[in-house]
Amino acid sequence: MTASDEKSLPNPAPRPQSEVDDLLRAWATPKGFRIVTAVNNTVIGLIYIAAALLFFLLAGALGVLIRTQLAVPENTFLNQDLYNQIFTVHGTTMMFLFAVPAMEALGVMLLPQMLAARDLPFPRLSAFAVWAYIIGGLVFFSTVFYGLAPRGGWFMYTPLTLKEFSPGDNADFWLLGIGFIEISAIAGAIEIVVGTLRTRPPGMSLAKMPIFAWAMLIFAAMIMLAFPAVIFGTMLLEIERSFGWPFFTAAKGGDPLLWQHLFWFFGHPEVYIIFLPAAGLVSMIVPTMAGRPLVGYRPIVVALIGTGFFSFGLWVHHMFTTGIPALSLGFFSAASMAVAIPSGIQMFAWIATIAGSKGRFRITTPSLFVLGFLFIFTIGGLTGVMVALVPIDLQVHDTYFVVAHFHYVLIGGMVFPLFATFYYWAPMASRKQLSEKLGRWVFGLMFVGFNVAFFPMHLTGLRGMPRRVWTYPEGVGWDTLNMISTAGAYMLAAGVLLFLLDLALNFRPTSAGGEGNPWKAGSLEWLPSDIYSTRSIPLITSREPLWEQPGLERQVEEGHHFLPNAPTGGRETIVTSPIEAEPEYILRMPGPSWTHVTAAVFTAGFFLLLTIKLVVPAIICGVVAIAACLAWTWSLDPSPGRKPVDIGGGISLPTYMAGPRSHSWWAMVVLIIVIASLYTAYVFSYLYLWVVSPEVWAPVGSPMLPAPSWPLGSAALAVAGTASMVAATRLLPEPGGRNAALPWAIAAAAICLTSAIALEIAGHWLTGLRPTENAYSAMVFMGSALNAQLGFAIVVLLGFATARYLTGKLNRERRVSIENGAILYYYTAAQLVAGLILVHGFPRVAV
Amino acid sequence: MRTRQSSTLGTLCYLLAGLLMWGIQFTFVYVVHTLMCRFGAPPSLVSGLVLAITGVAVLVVLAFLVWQKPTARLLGLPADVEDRATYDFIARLMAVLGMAAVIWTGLTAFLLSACA
Repeated sequence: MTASDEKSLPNPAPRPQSEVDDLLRAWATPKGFRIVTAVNNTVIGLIYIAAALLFFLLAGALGVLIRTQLAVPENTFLNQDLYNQIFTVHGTTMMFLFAVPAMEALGVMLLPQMLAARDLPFPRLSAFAVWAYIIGGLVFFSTVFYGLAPRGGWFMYTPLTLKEFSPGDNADFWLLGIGFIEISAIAGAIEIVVGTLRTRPPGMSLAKMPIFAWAMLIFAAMIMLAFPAVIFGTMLLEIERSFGWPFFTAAKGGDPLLWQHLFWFFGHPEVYIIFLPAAGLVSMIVPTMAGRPLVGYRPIVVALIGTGFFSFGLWVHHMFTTGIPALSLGFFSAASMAVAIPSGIQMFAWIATIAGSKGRFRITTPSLFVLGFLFIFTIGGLTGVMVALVPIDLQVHDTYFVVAHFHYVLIGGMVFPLFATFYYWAPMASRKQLSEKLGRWVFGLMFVGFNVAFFPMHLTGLRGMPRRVWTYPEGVGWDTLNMISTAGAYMLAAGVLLFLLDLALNFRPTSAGGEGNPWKAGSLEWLPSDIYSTRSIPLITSREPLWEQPGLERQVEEGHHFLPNAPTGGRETIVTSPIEAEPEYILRMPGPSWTHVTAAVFTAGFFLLLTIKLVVPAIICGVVAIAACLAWTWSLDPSPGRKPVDIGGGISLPTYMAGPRSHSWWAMVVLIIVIASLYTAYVFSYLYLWVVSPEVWAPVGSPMLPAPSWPLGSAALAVAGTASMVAATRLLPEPGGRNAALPWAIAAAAICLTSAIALEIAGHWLTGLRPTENAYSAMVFMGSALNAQLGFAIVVLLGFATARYLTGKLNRERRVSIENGAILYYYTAAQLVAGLILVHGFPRVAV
Repeated sequence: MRTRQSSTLGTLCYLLAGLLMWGIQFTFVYVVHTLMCRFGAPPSLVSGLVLAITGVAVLVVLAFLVWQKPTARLLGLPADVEDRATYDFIARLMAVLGMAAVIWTGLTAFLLSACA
């Protein structure tokens, strides 16, 4: 780089050392036990990854117990009931407590570094999600030690999991525990969507974004659309178990298959939710080891998005044996085969990148795990196409063939890339690299052990061994194959133990920059960094900046790029536009706090106490959790009264933003997409149950619908409330001023909404309809329950906005708190009216 | 820097057009076919409707491919946006992928009786 090029940098002049001191002070991490209050992504990310790894080890240990039980026929090592609990907790933990959280953890850890952001936009939300997950996960897992673990398998099919067939609290631990952890996953997804789209460095347009960031963006979008279905399903099942609303009871017009639809609408995308980030990681490792840019960046982006899309059209392939019409089977079988195309595009791109290195591809431990992934995942993909064919699926459904298939997909497609990640990115987070020598042994043991354990299961499955059997008789041709599988499982476990030894010997975590860039990679996470991330935020002009922008490391470290200091004195990062990444404003970020930790602990307490029916303590925990959330939020809307700050390159940015350009607005919109997705699951369920049991629908099988004046009154209240809410946002005073009408407008909006919801419930109640009567009545009241949930959240938000006004913290400029409430309000009013049309209109036209 | 920024929603719709069309076709054929069979419509009518929906979806994707640039303009993606060629390529490939999926899914109506 020439001297004239250096002069064109955003901050070409030498920068004072005091700026680094300011950054260190602003981003300092709490010490000792107060580390739990930390929010820096490098700290939280490591804790998150460690927790996910812990759950992997715990669930893996259960897997070894399962294999020990199945090693020989007629084994009594585990009793049948414990075995049922163990395989349920094994699957549940692997899917919900390890796979998805591990990927979110990598997002929290790696994304800000890859995007050269100082942190993700909502650091306390990340930290909240982590603690909620750790507490909820540990409590859920511990149930296996007390005989309280669920026994229904990781997909908890009804009617087996209804109260009648699964008495006790075991299934409730799954429903409330996992439902709660899914909320934590959604919190992480909001963080990742907003972080990826709004905190990229200047110049890093969407077309220059690292593939891992693309993968995480799609991953988070899939969580937003897929998880609500299972959250809604768990709500229905828990309500049926606790209060007897018969959504799944066939005798009352419900349908057990509704659970399968809701579960697999989440469950199949879940496989790709796990796989896509892993593919993104592989797309980062392969070019580095090949020493050349990734072949087919653009087709890979298409493949990632295409896989994400197609994954939502596959859920019924888990239900091929349930008696679905042939043409539907055809649609889903076709879509299941079509998903192989985008997966294949990625495979060929990686192979082409390796081949294009012309023999320079370095065989290191991360490379070995990547090659192992290519081999294993390809086999899993091939058997996937096999089971996508309906006749084959009918043959092998619920046999060990399917067990082999999904372990090849999940361990091959996720665990091997994860171990590649551990070895590849450890130098970024550790003062010492992991051992190459031990790493090769780890890979060897895991690769051989995995194939020895799981390949024979294809054969045991084809020989008819059903999955989930506790034991099996001697001499039916399964003995030897099971013994081989068990030996393989022990070898795989030995590989994991060796990895732990490597960690203990060599991993020395640090937030102050790791070992530099030992692989000579081209992406931004390898820039010199400290607890504040990079000294300055680089201007990006290429996809592999460290390869194509010479001297970037030094320039960034010397503060010649954007924001080389802490101009507001606190934590901050640059928010850029979502497509072109043009700087828009400075985001002032919160620091360490007890509030989000308290909120996480008491939210977990609320759900877990509710599980064991300790209602009053649960409510107390819920109230404390809400109070903690409000205390946490109180500091998030700082005064905008600062002048724009100079970030370099002649750019001055405001330090406050409201409206559609603010990160807060984006987060609320993302949350509303989640809520809308959940409501769509409700609408689907309503129509599905009508298709199955029209005979229980009003007016024939249930009391007459309320007179039209009831829904019209409810809709009128929703419209009036919306008008009040619009008025409230327009009545905001100038800074320092007052407007006495504002609290009244807010109160009117809240009263209208709650009255509209109450009127809808009262209308049905007065006709004699009761939610326990049949599936129709249960669905009617469920719609109002969903609206009431949102109504409660809005009342809290509007109360919060009123408190901000009364303390002088809400005005025409500083208006984020009321904006958030207003957006949610408008959505809720629209949902309520849509629900009225469905519940009151549909039965009238469908008779 | 340019004065006009790209529309975020418009750009996403532009990039995803082909796959969105597949999603719409897939949802429609699944819902329409389930409801019509439920109401006892003749299988040949159901199959015909599935093929009609598929045909419309193919035409829409083809129209997108033919008028790609005007569609981009309509959706708020400026012609001078940086990396425009990359966005065009991604949108085109996504449309081709979407069309293949639309045809592949719709073909099942030729092979299977709708309400069996």
